[in-house]
Amino acid sequence: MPIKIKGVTHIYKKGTPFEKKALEDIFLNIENGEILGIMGKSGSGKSTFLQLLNGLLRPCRGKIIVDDYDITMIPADEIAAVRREVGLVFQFPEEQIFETDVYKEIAFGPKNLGIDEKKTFERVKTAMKLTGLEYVKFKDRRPNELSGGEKRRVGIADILALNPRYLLLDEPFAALDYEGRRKIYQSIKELNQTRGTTTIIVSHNLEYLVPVCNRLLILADGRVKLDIKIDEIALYIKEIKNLGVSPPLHHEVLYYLKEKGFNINVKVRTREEAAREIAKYLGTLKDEVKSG
Amino acid sequence: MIEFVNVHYYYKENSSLILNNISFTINKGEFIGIVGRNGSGKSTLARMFNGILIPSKGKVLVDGLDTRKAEDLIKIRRKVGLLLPNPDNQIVSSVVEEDVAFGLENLGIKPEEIRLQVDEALKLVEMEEFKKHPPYLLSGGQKQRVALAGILALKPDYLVLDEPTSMIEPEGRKLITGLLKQINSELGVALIWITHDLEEIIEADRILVVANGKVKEYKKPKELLGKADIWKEAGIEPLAITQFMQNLKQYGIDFKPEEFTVQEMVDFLCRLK
Repeated sequence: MPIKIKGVTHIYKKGTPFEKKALEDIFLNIENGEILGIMGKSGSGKSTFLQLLNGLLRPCRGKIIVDDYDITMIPADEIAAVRREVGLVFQFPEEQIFETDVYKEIAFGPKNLGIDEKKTFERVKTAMKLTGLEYVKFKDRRPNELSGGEKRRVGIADILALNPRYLLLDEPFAALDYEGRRKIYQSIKELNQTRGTTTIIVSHNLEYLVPVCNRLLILADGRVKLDIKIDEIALYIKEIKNLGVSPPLHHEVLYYLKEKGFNINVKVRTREEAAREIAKYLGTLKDEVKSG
Repeated sequence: MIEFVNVHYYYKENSSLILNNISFTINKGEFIGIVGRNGSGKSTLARMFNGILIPSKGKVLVDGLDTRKAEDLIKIRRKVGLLLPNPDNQIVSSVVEEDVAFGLENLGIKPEEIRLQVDEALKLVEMEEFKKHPPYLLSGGQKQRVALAGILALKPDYLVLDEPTSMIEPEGRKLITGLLKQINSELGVALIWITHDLEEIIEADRILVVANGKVKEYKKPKELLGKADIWKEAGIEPLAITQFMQNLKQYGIDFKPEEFTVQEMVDFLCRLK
C-alpha cells in the first residue's frame, strides 16, 4: 500500500503568540518500494514531515493514510502499532544507545514487544546482517568502543529489528565518512530489494541522496517546491539552486553543456553515467568501455 | 610551535596502537587540516594537543611546554583551545554570557576584565545580541559559536577543531567556517582543523592525512587535492570535481590539473567539441 498524504498542515504551538507553521497543505503519494529523498533548509519542515508519518506528531489538518489506515485518526493508545510499521531513525541514533553490548542493544526493541528469545535472536541477526555488522565479530562488542560509522549502523539496526515496512531516516549520513555512507547505501538498497521496504531519507546534502534515491522532494517554507525523479536533476538546476540547494557537480556540468549547445542526454543519476554521456557526445568513448 | 615527537597511544599495554609513532610540527599562525577515516585516530590526536590525553610513548610540546608535566598543563590549556563536534557537550551555563565567562572566572581574572573579554569574544563570533539568552533556545550553529566564544575569551594561540561543523545545520556551518578562517587570518590564531569535508580545508597551509594511526601525508593542499588515490585509501571522499575528472578520464577525456572550477571544466569541454 502506498502512503497517501492529503492536505496536511502542521502548526506548532497553535493559538499562542509563538505559533509557527511548519508544513502547509501537503499532498503527496509515496509508492511502495520507493526510496524518496527529502531536502530543504533548516526550518523547511523536513523533520516535522518524518514525525507526522510515524505518528509522533498529529497534523493540525489533513489525512495521512498508511496501509489504508488514516493514522491521524488512530487513538493515542494504539499509535505504537504505527510506529512499528513506520520505523523512524532519528538524527545521530548512536546517541540513544544505552545497552552494554551490541546484541543486547539491538534485542531491546523486539524483547520490549514481548517477542520470544528465539525470534528475537533471528531478528537481531537479520538486522545486523542488513546493516553490515558481522554477527560473530560485533555481537559482544561494547557500543562505545565502536567507530562512529559502526555505532550509526547499530542505531539503524535497532529500528530494523522491529521489522518496519517503512523506514524513515533523518540525516543518516551526517558526520560519516565516505566508507560509512557507502555501507548505509548498501543497507538501504538491500532492504529495498529483499523486503521492498519503502524508505524516506532526509538529508541536507543532495550528493548523499543521489546514489540511493529514485525520487527527490525539496521543501521550502513548509511546502513541496520540487518533486522530480532523481535522474531529472540536470533538467532542474536553476530551480534547485533557487531553493538554496547545491546540485551535484556532474549534473551542473551537464546542465551548462546543454546550455552551450551540446545535444546530450542529461537524464542520468551517477557521475559515471554523466561522464559516459559527455564522452559519447565528444566521441572519445573507447571501444572497450563502450560495450561495458 | 607545537611538536609531536614519536607519539604513540594505546588504551592498554599490548593492545593495538591507536597512534603509531606520529611526528609533525605546526607553526604559530598556520592553518592545518587533518583528515582520516572514522577510527583512524583523528579524535585521539585532537585530544593530545592540550593534554586531555597524554602520549603512552613520545611527547607533545606546545611552545616548549610538555603535556606530560602537570605543572605545564595550565599554561598549555590557555594556549591551546579545543572545540568539540557537539556544542551541547561543551556548554555548561544557563545564560550565554555566563558560559563564555566560565573559563575566565576559573582563572581568577577580575570581573571588569572578564566583562570586556566576554563582550569581545561574543562580538567576534557575531553572537552579541544573544548574550542574555539561555543556550538551549539557540540553534546548533549558534550554540557552537557560543562554545567557540568561550574558548576565544581565553585568547589561545592555537585552536584545535574536532569536526566543528559536523553536527551543525548547513547555514550555520557556512557561518562558522567563515568565522574560523577570519580568526586565523586576522588574529593569527593557528587552526588545527579535523574534518571529513575537504571543501572546508581547501585553503589550509598544509593537510595532514592520518591512516591507521600513522601520518600518511603532510603537504600543501595543491599537492594533494587532485590525487583521488590518496583520498580513496584514506577513506575520504575526494572533491566532487576530482572524482568527476577521474570518471571523464576513464572515458578518454584528459584534464590538466588547473581545470578546477565547474566553469573551467565546462569551458574546457566546450573547446573539445
